[in-house]
Amino acid sequence: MATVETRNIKKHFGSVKAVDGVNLAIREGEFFVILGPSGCGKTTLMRMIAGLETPTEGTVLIDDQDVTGLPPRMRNLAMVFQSYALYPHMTVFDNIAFPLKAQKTPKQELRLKVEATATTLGVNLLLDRKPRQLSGGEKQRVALCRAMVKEPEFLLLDEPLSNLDAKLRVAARSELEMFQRQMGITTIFVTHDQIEAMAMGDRIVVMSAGKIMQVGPPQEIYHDPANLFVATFLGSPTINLLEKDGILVGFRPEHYLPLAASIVKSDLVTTIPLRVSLVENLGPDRLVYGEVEDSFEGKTTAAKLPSMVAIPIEPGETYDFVIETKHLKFFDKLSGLKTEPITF
Amino acid sequence: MEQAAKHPAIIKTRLQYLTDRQGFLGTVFLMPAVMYILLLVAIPFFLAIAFSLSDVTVGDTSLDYVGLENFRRVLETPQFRRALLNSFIFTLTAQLIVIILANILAVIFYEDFPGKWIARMLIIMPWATPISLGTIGWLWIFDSKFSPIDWVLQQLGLLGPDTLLGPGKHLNYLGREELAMVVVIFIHVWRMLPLATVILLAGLSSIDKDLIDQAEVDGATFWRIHTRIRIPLLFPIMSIALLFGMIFTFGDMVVVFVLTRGGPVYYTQVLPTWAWFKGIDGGNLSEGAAVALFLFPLLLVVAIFMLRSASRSEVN
Repeated sequence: MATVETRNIKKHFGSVKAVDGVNLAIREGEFFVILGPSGCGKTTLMRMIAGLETPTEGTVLIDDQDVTGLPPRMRNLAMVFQSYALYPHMTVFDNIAFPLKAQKTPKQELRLKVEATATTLGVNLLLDRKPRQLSGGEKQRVALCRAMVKEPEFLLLDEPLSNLDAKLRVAARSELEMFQRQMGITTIFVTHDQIEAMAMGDRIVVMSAGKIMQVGPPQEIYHDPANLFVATFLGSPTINLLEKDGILVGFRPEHYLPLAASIVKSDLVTTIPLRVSLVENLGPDRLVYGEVEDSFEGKTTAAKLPSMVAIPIEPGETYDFVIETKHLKFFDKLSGLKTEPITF
Repeated sequence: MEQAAKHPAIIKTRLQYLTDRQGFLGTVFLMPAVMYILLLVAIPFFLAIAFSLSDVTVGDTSLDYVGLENFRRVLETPQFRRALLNSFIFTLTAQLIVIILANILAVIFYEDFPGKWIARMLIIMPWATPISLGTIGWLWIFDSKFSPIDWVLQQLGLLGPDTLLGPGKHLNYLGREELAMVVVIFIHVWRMLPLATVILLAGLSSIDKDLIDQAEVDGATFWRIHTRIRIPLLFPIMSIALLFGMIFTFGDMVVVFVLTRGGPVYYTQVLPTWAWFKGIDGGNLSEGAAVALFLFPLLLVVAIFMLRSASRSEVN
């Protein structure tokens, strides 16, 4: 197991700054998620950690050793690509054995290791197949098998779940998570999927335009976003933002509930009435859209009501909605950064 | 009255829709290809078979059936046997060298480096040059008296009296059996290399970049990646390049014809040139046809392999 660190790492492609000065320190055994929209530089960052890309500037350290100029094979890491990148002309066995062969492992030992790893991940019955005969989930496991067989110091995962269909993805996600906890291997997971990030990460780094927006545990990222980008990137529907005196007041739709359904003491809540324009019943939740009145600019605002809140809500009516005051977030409109609370 | 008025419109419509009828259009569009194959491939081919089984010559154009007499007689001549052997030597040696060099070049051109475009253009030049013109150029370069290579060697002190390459002031490339063969092979390589390189380059670019990255992360060295990942994945397209080159080289008469005319003596004769010298130059059409037909089963086998590997790579 290893620690991974990047110091002021940069990668410029011509005038494009794919990664622009990123400092990260990933702890031993940690499940670390790099989250961001496509094009934010997260994959480039991972490729630099892997050694597939040479940084324009900055250093990569593995176990406090500078590995910046070293090729991937000198870094004892493993990686699973989004496409799984199984060698199409090799059987599953040969695919899994490939990293061991590169290390010139003796035949006997190689066979034992491949079979042991394959059994752990439940692909031991597929060893004679070719990749094209595998389902998406099987491919993912074989790829993980190939990554783990050489007992790497850390594991890089580049959106390994996004090629699976929705149902399988959830199962594969928890499987992967359990596997990582069992092995205790330092893992860096790149994704653009906030749910994956929230579910799996010990810590998350949110990136945008090659820069770090925030680093922290999932709950902190979600509940205490450092800036507008993080606040709006996470959560669905997105956070409500209301403007007052150059300050944006944010609150998440699931914290915005009808007064009648609120169980919090009235001195701990802020009331913002909502004129309802649309109600969507999604089953587990009800989404209520409308416009706030009060002293804010009229702006579409969403509320997410769990199905337990059964109060009838009709479009066209105005209801008192409340937010627990501690859930209010404040951002400076110009800089986008978190600011001191204001009262209203 | 109304009916009559509609009538011309209906005719016009029918003519319009003629171009929408697939049967009609199909026939029309296929015609040029069918004509081409019939006139320039099928008829000459069957004519050649007929010639080879008869005693036709330029002087006596009547076709009298003589069975396999021509083939027997052709086989007996040392010139033919040498031509057959040479065809194999030239083709196989040239293609072996081509495929090795094309692999190297393709890997080089796959990477980015300054001046890549100009280098790429230069590499493709031999293929873009008409082969007869190219060969004439080489004919001058390998001239017995004015060869610039000889001149360079002389200046370097490698050629001339009391030097490494012997007392003569000229190597006389095309006048010596082994050297002439080497030169023929060299020109075939020079000519086929661009095509093979381009084919392999296309093959390389079609390999998923992730696979190479993955292999790197899996700890493979450049050499291991090349032998275990790239070459196996390139194999189908490489065999196409190889078979294509073989057909081209095997059936080519221009290089030998322009360069050596089969000489010295008949030591660089190949089947196509020998068929020409025998049948057209010598006027013995029937024996010329018999020589030419020796190419057929060989090319057929190669063509079958080529089409099979092409369709297989399509399936994958």
